[in-house]
Amino acid sequence: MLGMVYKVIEQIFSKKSTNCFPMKYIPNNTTQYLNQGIIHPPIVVKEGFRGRLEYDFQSCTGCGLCSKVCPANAIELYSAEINSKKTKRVVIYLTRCTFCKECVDICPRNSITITKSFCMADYKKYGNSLVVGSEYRQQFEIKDHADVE
Amino acid sequence: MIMILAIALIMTIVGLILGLLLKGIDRKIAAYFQSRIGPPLLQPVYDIIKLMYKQTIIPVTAVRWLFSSAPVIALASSALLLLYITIPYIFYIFEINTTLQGDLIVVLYCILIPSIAMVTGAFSSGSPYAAIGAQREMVILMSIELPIAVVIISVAWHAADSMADPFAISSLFEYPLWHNAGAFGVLGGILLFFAMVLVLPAEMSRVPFDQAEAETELAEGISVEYSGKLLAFILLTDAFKALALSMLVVILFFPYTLSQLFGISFQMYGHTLTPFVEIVFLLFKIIVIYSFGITFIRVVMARLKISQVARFFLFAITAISIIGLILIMLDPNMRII
Amino acid sequence: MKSDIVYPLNIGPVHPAFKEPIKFTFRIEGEQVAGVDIDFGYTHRGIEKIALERNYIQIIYLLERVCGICSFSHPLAYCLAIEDVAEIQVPDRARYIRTIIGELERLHSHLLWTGIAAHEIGFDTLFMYTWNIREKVLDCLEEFTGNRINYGMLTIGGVRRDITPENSETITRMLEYYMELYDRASEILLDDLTLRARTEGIGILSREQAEMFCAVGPTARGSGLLKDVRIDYPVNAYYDIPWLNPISPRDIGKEPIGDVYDRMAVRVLEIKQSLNVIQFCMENLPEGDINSGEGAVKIINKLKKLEGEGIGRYEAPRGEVCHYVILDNQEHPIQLKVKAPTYSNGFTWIPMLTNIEIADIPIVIASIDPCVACADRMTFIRKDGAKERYSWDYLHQKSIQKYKRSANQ
Repeated sequence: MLGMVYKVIEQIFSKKSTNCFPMKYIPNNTTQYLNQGIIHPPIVVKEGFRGRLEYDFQSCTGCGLCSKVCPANAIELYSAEINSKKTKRVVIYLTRCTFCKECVDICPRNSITITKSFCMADYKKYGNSLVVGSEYRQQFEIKDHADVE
Repeated sequence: MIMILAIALIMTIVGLILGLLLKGIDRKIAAYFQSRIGPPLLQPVYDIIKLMYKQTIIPVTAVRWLFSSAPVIALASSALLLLYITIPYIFYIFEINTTLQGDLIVVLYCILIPSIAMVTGAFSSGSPYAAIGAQREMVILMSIELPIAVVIISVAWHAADSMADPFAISSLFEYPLWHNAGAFGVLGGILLFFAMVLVLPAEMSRVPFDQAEAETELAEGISVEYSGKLLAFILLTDAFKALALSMLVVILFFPYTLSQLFGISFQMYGHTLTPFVEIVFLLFKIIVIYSFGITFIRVVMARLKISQVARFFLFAITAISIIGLILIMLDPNMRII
Repeated sequence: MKSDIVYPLNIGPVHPAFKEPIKFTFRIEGEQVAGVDIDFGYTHRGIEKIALERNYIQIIYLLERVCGICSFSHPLAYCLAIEDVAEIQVPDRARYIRTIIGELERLHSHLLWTGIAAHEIGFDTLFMYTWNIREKVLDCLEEFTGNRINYGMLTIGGVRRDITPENSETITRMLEYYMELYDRASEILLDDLTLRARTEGIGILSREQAEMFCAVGPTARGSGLLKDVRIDYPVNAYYDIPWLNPISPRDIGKEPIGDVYDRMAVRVLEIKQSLNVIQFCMENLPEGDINSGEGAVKIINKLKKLEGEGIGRYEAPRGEVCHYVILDNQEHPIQLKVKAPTYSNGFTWIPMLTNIEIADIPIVIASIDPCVACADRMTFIRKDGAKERYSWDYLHQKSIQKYKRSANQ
């Protein structure tokens, strides 16, 4: 009947459950926040947490399986020219990604890997920090009109 | 006269800050009860500052002059209530002789005015939520009126055998309720204190008696249509009321000063510091009353229904306070006849 | 407090008492509710339609988003339906892992509901308390599925990730934590004075009404109907648990009358039941494969060549989830029907919401644990804002026309 009364009196002396925001002020871009002044260390993410994707451009063969299974259609195939050979490569839009790890599981060359990083806030939705592989796209993409159709 | 005005002005500003701080302490303690860290102590002050910058929107359905004047009246009357209760005590602490005594009956009326103003503003806003909230606020006001009156009358009753005016606030300091009380008197005093502490959250619209502003039912009820500066006034009214009502409980039940209790006084470089220490002690008492009467009760209870509240106050609390009154009347040491 | 004046009170579409948009129009007499009109359709997302354009693997992740809390039950029902069509045998270990995740989900869903119910009646300390202890199960889920919700654990024919020895240690520790906590927490939840004052005797749904409106899940069980898909149509590891019985308020020695308190008692007791089921599964976890070992592409190619219809049923925390799919030699299903628990329970609001006070409205609405987005099936957008009502006959005729057309093609 008075369980809550005892509970609150107990709680006033026990350790508080609040997780403080790691910084005093919100940074413009949390992808790089770890370099700046931290007042509360962030909570350690658990084993098996699925965070930001990383893409290995060199080992990718452009088979396109990942874009086929991606439930959110977050992986886009584009035509690229590498060593004067026409092939395909992908970019991953993290703003659409649901972090289901399907692409990591299906990739035959293990070109896509998953990390534990969860800091993905930015001002630009399609900024370079939120499109994995965009730096290669700028370098290698060829605008093929037949492909665009 | 000028001195009183100056004191009133200073005390309004100090009371404003202290009232907001009291709300901050309340939120902090409530957070600790709930195993949280809680907002910064000055969060209510930041809220007020933010609201002062915000646009004030008056709904088209509202009666414009009534809607915008109600918070101002509430703020002014709650400030008046605070000053009316506090000034006699401050004079008493500083040992200033004055004819200003204060009257408990006026206090009884002053408690009502901010709530009535809020109810008027809510009815004039034209929102159905506010209308329901205002109806509920009226029901609560009517149910708690009798217990408050009984408490005040009992306190005055016991002071009636003294030479002083029984209904004057200043005579409470000379003859506190527990002054030469017997067993009946102490028991009656405890019952009256219990009734008064339960009336506090109802007067302040806090859980479990916050039906008028019930967030999940009525979306803040009586203050639902207010925004910007008018909402800031409502929050300030709340701060004044918080301070004034806990102050009222203090002067009704625990008006003792440190020098009365322990006979100590504080000196420094030949000047007496006793009044300032007494003020700190007074604030301590206010915080204790507030955190037990309002913070603790609001964290351990769910919001009741309006019918349950009306029944609770009209029967249980009224009965308790009347029993307290009878016990005090029966106490032979307090007899006047 | 009754008065002669009847006035309307709109609650919703957006209101602090609701977590999702839905509109109630009450007729109020004083503080009493005289009647109610419920209006769905503010959060229709067209998931069933989107699903027809995705392949079989993509749909799993889409269906996780049907409901944030039942994010395992919906894809599980879908996987069961597909496995029904394709006659895929699920390995034993996968069945047990599915059961464990399902029960962990039930645990956190019921704790979440208790917090919301406490918030609806202004009991914020209880709200903070239950959500605080819920963190433990979410941490546990995060550790071995990778996410706090939307676990991404399911695949057709099994599960995607195994329970490692470290994970099982975490789960054991979590079970100990809750077992230790349960007695005290259930005392707070079931015996608190003000909580009882606010929940007893309101929102009554009698046994007959529950039967009539086809109530499911804790709503039905709170009214004394012994109805639980886990027992009636067992899937996963529920075959192997002989002691599993539908919960009823009789288990705490109270004759069920179908009020809010009964529904709360059922949920609190189901927390204990879930803990026992998880413990059983952890103790009897068989060795072996966790899925067929085929990749996503192989599964899609296999299902491409199939034809037929399948049905999957599972007891989500809120009640029965039922998914129905039709496959027709294509890369995507040609029909997917989702039946969420609120779809059945939504109708029980009408008897519950009559003859209560305004103050009871939020808790009674919350008492069936509504998931409005799950139940929204159609929305009308017209320029003039006018509303049309379609009769049963009209809709029946329309559906006959549609299926005749598709049969002729």
